Amino acid sequence: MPTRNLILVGDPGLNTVDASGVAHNHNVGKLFILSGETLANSLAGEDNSVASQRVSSALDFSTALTANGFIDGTVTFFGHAGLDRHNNSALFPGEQVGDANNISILNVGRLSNTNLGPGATITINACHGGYGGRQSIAQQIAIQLERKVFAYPVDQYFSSDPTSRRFRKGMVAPSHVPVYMVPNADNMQPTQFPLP
Amino acid sequence: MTRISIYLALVTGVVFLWARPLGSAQMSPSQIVERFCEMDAQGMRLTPEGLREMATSFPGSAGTVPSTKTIVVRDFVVSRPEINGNRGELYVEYVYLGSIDVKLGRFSRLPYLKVRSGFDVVRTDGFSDWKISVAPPESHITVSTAVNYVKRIHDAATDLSTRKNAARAIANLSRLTR
Repeated sequence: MPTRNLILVGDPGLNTVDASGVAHNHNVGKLFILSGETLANSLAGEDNSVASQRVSSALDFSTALTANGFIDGTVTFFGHAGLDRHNNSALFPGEQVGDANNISILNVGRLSNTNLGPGATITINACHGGYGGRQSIAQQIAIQLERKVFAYPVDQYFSSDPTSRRFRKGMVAPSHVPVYMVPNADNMQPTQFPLP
Repeated sequence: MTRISIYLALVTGVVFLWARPLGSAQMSPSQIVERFCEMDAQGMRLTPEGLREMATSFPGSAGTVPSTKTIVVRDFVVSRPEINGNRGELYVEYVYLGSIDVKLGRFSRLPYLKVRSGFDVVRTDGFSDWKISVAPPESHITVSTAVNYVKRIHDAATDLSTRKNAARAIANLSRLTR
């Protein structure tokens, strides 16, 4: 039975070129967008409907959950995550400074499940989205939305092959679809939250 | 009279520029934080001489406080600032690799977490350059800096266990550079 699905794509991240001309590159370019496109193509091929949205702040994220119709399938986030300036586990939809551009324990309470079906699930494709177990942002989102959340406790990289395997030197991110964000581990399945 | 005024203005300007500490030339909030991070990455927070040099990034003597912890990072990026009058806020995004226990000469791996550390900057009234008012208490150094640093710990250690720890740490750190 076809479902309604939502894909959220965060900011690509920033680069810094230091005084010596060395580039510090945390910007993934279009890879989050391409990962979202890959998933959208796959879902649409099964007659599901898909809404895709760019999110650059916690407000964008929370609005997207309620402003895209009734979501009875999946919500999938592609973006950065890690620890914020307060050492909280956080999603980083935004690349600008400020707690309002992250989703953490500080503002997770503003997310609403009003337009999420009882069987809807949330998948976090972001490095360490599930790191920290019960302290992770995945756990907090699962508790807040009262829905199952899937996330990885490890870093992720981009591949044209969806198989979970450890990253090896020489692997290069694809430049066109299909693009998958895969966990940097062999045969790893995502952790399901909330943890008991 | 005009010539004398111009001459005096030029001399005053040259003396003013000469008297300013090196490295404190007018810098934007991002530049001052970037400069701080580069010096930090090179291990300058780990020596008294380095700390003295880094103090020019801070108002007063705030920057002379030694770091409380030493984190080894892959690299860093500096965000654009959010400015509110004479105050501003930025983050520096590090990718953690591990931490060094200076006393024991140990290196412990950490998950490759992205950590956005907060920096606050302030502009002193009457000056156009920015200083750092809040920086993370821990030092963030690159792998190559960490190898050299642990080598120094190894060479200075008088007890066998610290030397052993340091030798192991050097081997583990060297693996990260391959």
